[in-house]
Amino acid sequence: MKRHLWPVALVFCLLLAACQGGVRPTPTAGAPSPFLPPKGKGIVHVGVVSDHPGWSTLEVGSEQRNGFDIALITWLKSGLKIHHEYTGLSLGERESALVGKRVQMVVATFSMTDLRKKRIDFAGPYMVTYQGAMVRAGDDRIKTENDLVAGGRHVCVVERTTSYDALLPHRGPKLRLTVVSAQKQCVERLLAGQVDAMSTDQLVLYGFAEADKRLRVIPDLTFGFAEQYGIGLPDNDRADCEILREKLQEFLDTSTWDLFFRQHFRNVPPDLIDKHKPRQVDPCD
Amino acid sequence: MWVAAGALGVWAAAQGAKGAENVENASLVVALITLGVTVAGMMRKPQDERAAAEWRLPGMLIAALGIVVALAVGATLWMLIHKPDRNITDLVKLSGNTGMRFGGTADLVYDQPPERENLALTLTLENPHPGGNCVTPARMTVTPKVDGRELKAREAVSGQELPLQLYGAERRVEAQVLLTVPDPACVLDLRVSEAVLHN
Repeated sequence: MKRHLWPVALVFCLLLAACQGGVRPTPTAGAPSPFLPPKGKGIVHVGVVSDHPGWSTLEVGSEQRNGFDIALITWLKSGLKIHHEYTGLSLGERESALVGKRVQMVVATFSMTDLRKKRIDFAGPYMVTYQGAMVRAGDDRIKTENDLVAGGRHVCVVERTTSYDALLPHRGPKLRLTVVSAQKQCVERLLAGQVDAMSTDQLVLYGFAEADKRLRVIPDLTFGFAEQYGIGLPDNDRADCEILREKLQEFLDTSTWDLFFRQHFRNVPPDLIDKHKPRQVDPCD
Repeated sequence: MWVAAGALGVWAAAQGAKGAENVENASLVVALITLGVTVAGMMRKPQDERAAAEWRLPGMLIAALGIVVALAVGATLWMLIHKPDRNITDLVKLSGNTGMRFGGTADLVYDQPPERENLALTLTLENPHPGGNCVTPARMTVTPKVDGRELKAREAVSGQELPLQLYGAERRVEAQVLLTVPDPACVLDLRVSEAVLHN
């Protein structure tokens, strides 16, 4: 009898295994979620930048961090009941820090792009802005996109950013690009007269202009894709993405977003505030 | 038992990708029956052993004959009436599918008799530029046409399988895809990642 039982048992097991074909694997398999229970034990390492006025700054001495992104992290921390630690990153390090597991999330004016989504995940958007340009106060030689990209100007951009990608096709005799590793270096070169303008997301520029009155954002000069800021997450982190997506939608639906925006971008014309607020958070990929 | 398992395997494979749900349901039923037979066998009294031994050879012959007949009938029905799935991904002709902006349309044509009742169509959008969050928020409105008759439009996102009924199409299947994307700067390419005809 026993001799005939084992093929029966084998077929039974195979068929039961076949019945499991429709079950999806756990999205976070292999990577413990910082937001799912049990929470409060581990520390969530959050990647931020330290030199973006309005968005994310680190005061030397007091070690205080301030800005819209910092306020958002604090709000998320309270809602999700998590402990976190900041990890300072340069703009070019944001993606590699997630891929290399140095941080579990990045909140740092991080544009969601289809290209980046091939390597990492995003929850968002929580902000929309466009490419803009900033010049020295009193310099009105650049008024339009054409003046910027075809007027023979020297323009500063940061490497591995969407601004760099947007201007790269125009690089040549009519657009001289100076590529640096941090926005602050562009500001310094602009103030020193080494470049005619710096280009990046317009809301980032408004932050710099608010902090230094020698700088001026050209209000009507925007171009390129809608830069949609999201919270960067490691690839295939769907469970955490869903949690953050729900919180971000709450952030947009309540008055919190408006409050944070007015607090950190006082120089943005009031009639332009609405165009920076996304209505809906994207589904997680 | 091995013959039965093999026959089941052949049947399951013949179902194709789109018949996976049928295979799962049938597998569960077979698995439960198999378990029942096994348990019943284990509980049989020893005096039944002699009678069982007498019936073993004729029983196996009857079972083998039954399986052969069932397979032959099943295969005939399958090939002539139900017909296996047909992957036509490479046979769908696309036009207007590159450099699509908001409001742009692309046309898909399969100009052969489909000989099936349904088409499972998966369309994928690709952003060839390094910038822009374009693919996830994009929506495609797919309006199928069978033999020139326009059917109800369906909406899909990139990578989502659209099950389309073909309502007895005899000559050709077409579809027009209308792209809507919130960011007007987005320029996307469309491709057919899978098209499978099935009954």
